[in-house]
Amino acid sequence: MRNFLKSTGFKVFLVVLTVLLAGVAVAATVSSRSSPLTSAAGVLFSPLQRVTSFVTERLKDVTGGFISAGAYKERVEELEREVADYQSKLVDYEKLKRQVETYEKFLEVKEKNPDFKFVTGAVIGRDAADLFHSFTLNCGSTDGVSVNDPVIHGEYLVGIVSEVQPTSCTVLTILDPRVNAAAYEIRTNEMGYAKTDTRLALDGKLKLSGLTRDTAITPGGIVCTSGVGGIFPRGLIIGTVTEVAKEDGDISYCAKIDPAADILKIADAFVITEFEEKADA
Amino acid sequence: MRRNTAVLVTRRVLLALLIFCSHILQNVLSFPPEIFGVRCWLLISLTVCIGMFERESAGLMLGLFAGLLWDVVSGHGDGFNTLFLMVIGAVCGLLINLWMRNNLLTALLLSGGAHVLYILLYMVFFILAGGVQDAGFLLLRYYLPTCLYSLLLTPIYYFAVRFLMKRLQLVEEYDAFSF
Repeated sequence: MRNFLKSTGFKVFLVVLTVLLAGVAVAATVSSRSSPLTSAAGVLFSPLQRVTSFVTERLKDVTGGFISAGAYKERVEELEREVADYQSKLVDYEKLKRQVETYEKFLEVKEKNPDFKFVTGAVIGRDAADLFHSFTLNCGSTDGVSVNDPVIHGEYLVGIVSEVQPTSCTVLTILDPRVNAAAYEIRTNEMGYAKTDTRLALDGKLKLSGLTRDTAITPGGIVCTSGVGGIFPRGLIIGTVTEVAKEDGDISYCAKIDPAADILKIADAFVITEFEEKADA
Repeated sequence: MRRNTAVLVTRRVLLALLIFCSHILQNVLSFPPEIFGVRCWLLISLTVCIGMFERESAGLMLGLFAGLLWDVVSGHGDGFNTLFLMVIGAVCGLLINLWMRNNLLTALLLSGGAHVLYILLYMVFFILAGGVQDAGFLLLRYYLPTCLYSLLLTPIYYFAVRFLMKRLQLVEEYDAFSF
């Protein structure tokens, strides 16, 4: 014991203890509550601390990445599901919007013409061999459709039923040279018949023929069916006049018409199965 | 024997499916798209290729199926397409059986011939007889380019049908006593 008390180690211990106690005493009087020794150690070890904190931060990030990967994956999947859901809803919305627009037009026509009876049909096919854009609707004789029934899209004339099967019917469009309709221009009340020829049809146009030389029809005029003949009801819009010209090889005049219905893009149409003039005809 | 029957049935069902898909593309989706108003007919090329590989009987039946599908959406019904494709399927099968070799050149020749014949008959029955004017203009401006456009797709059908035939080949049955 005596030897120990006299040993260098014990002396060193005493010095260290004294220094520590002095430090604690100083720390108690200073506001930072940190002993000078700790501060000195802090200064000495600050580079190491920085390294430690840097490594710790990195490791924390890495660990965070590992932990989040699964969560991120789940989140991404969840978002993908949500996007798919919204896309599907958007498609439904667009479909419904189009349907509502069609039915709004249909209602307008129905309000204007309470005598009309309609059958609705969707386009299920277009004959690739027919240059005049005939198409097939998914309604037929079981729905009350018969040959020569007019077909409309909104209040625009599209064509006429040429063939009827029990569950489908074929429609010849107004761009077919075999289809013609008695028509008039609404501003001047001039009568004629709307028809087309091969070249006009391929340009997507038709004409109001049978006009006299002193016709007052001008571009922009609207041509409607006149109801004469009992095939088409009166007042269906055929199209807008784009040009008035002399007929080839004839002394009469004609008005070229841009059809109101976009026949190539029609997805659904209404077949008018009954109307007043038809009943009288 | 049973395996051969199964292979035969599978092959013909697949060919019928191919016809159905081509019908949808041609008459519902209007695919391939029009080029300057010129359309492409898929069913004629397909029927020719089927007739060449499956020969007359199956060619006739599958041609009948293709024609029926086409007639459903045609404004000029009366079975024109059914009759035409049925005959084309059978005739192509017979020609390969009797006189011609089954290769791509023959397919192009037969397909071209079938398209030209279809156009001529169509023009006579539905354009001229229907009183539509400017038939010559229609022929040059639309129908002949349509024939060329359709011919471009014949090789695709030729190789598709050939692939199907190779994958679903019948096993030769040898008579044991012939050795």
